[in-house]
Amino acid sequence: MDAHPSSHPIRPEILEIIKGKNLHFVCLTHPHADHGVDLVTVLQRHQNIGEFWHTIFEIPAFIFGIEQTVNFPSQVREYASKLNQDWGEFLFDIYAAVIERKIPRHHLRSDLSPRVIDGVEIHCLSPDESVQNQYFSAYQKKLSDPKIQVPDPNLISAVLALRLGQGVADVGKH
Amino acid sequence: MSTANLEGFLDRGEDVGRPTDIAVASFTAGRRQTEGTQAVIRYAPATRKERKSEERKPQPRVLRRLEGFLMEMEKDEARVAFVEDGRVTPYDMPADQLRRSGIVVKNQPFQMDEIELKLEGGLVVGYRFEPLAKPSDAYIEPLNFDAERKRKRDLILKEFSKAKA
Repeated sequence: MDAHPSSHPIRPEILEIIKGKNLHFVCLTHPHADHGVDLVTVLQRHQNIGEFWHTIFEIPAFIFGIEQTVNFPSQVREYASKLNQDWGEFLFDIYAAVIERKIPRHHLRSDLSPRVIDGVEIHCLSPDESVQNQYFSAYQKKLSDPKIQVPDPNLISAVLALRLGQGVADVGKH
Repeated sequence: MSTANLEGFLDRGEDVGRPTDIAVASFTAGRRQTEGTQAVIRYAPATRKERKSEERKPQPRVLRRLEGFLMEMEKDEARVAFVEDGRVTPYDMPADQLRRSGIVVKNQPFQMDEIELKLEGGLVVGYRFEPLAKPSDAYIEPLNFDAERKRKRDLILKEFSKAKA
């Protein structure tokens, strides 16, 4: 779940960490680059990936929305512009890798039945469907008004609870 | 300045003491004139009065000034990016002060001053935010992708349009 390159020199490259492992799923909790840049490498090059889990369902409107960015005249304009560009490229890279490698997609929502993988029960606690609808309806509105403000992607962040025996861990909170 | 104006000028209560009438002597050559002064002006020596407390507000000293822009804002939290020597540093902070300063739109630029204020009770250090553009100054900036990214974009749109259908 989520992976970003580390600036710490002792952390190995992501492909080294997962080398030879069977990944039941790769999960992007929400579409923020700082939660997923290393997932691009994984999805492009790692051999054994069962599924790609994510929370985005209205991709065409979302793509249009991220392409029509809002900026301001200022001395820091170019830096804001670069971040927007990097974000767009990150999303294109990650979804293109999933499509090109034909990795099955699984759309996360809080009302799904739990899955069991190798004895681990995986419950999806968030996002709620109504929150997702609210998020993507803003992108639908942006189709006709590109200046409209869209909610923060943290809103649709996945939260999973992993249960093994008596132990429970929740992961994915922003 | 006429006498009337001069009187009005000197009547300011703030900077002058109690006015005193003085006679302006005039002379005719070879003869001392003891009567018939030509004009009377009101004179009062300038005095330094205690200023009102609001006029003596301590002025903050700017310790550091940074420019940045808003990356995202959600409820109580905001993420901003500070730009210093060409480097961009993301920073999470409470959203309230940004909102109150009118910094509310993604990518809206602002200036943040780290300020120091000397008070009788001690030294206060804080932050002051000022938007460098209004929300209404926003313009649309379409992203510009290279050929490979355009190919990926088309692939994604084709795939998800198909899935939706």
